[in-house]
Amino acid sequence: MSKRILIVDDTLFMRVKMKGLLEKWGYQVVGEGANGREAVEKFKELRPDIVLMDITMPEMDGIAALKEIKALDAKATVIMVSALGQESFVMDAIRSGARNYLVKPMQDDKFQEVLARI
Amino acid sequence: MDSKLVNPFIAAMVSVLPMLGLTDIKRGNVAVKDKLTTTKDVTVLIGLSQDIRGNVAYGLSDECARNIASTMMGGMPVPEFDEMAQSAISELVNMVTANAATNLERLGKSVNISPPTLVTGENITVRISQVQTLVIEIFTTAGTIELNVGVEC
Repeated sequence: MSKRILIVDDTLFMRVKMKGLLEKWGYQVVGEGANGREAVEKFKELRPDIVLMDITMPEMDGIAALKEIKALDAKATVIMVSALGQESFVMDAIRSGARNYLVKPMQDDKFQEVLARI
Repeated sequence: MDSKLVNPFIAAMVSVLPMLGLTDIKRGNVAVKDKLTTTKDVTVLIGLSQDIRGNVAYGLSDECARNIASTMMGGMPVPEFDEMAQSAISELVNMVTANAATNLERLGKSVNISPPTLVTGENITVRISQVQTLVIEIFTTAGTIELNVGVEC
C-alpha cells in the first residue's frame, strides 16, 4: 500500500509541484496545509505516514508545527522541506524530531531518494 | 549601508536561478537610492531581521514574471500572471533570499526572513522604507530582475 503524505507549504506552486512528483512516484497525497496551524489540524485528522513541512509560513511556522505534531505522536515522520539552509535551522529541526531536512530548490532524484528511505 | 552586504544576494541569484531553469545569469548596473521604492509591474518583498534588518524587494516586469513562472513550470505557457504564476515567483524570491541568508550566516551574520509579500499592478509605486538602498540589475534569459537591498546591520 502506498505511503500517505501530507504536504504543508504556504506556496501553491510548491504544493502543486510536490503533489505532481509524489503521485508520479506512487505516493498518495492525502492532504495539504498552507501553514503550521493547518499542518497540526490535518495531522490529527488524517494521521499521514509522512508530513512534508515547510518552515517559513504565516500564522505558525514549520518548526513550531513539528514540535506540536511530535507531541501528539512521537513516532510521526516529518521531513522538513525549506529554502532555509542555515545550520541553526537544520539543527533546530533535527533536535525537534524531524526525520530529514531538504533545502529548496532540491533535485527531484534527491527528494525521491529521501522518501524511499522511509 | 555596507555594499558588501549585497554580495550574498547576488551570489544567491547566481546559485539558485539556474536550478530553476534560468540561464545566462549576469549582473548589470548597480545604483544607490535614498529610499527603498519600486515601480515595476511585480514587486516581491521580504523582510529581514536579527543581525541584518530591513527589506529586500525584487522588481520584475509582467512579461519577465510570466517568463520565469513558465520556466519554473517546465515551459507551460503563462498568458496571464495568475495565482499559480504569482505563487511561483513568490517561491523563487523565497528561495533566493533564504540562500542569501545562508551565505550571510557564513559571514557570521544571523538572519531571519519573513514570508514573501507580492504586489502587482500597472503604474504603481511601492514605497517600502527610507533606508539607503542598493539596486542591482540581474539579467536572465527570461528577462531582468531588479534587486533592491535596503538593509542595515
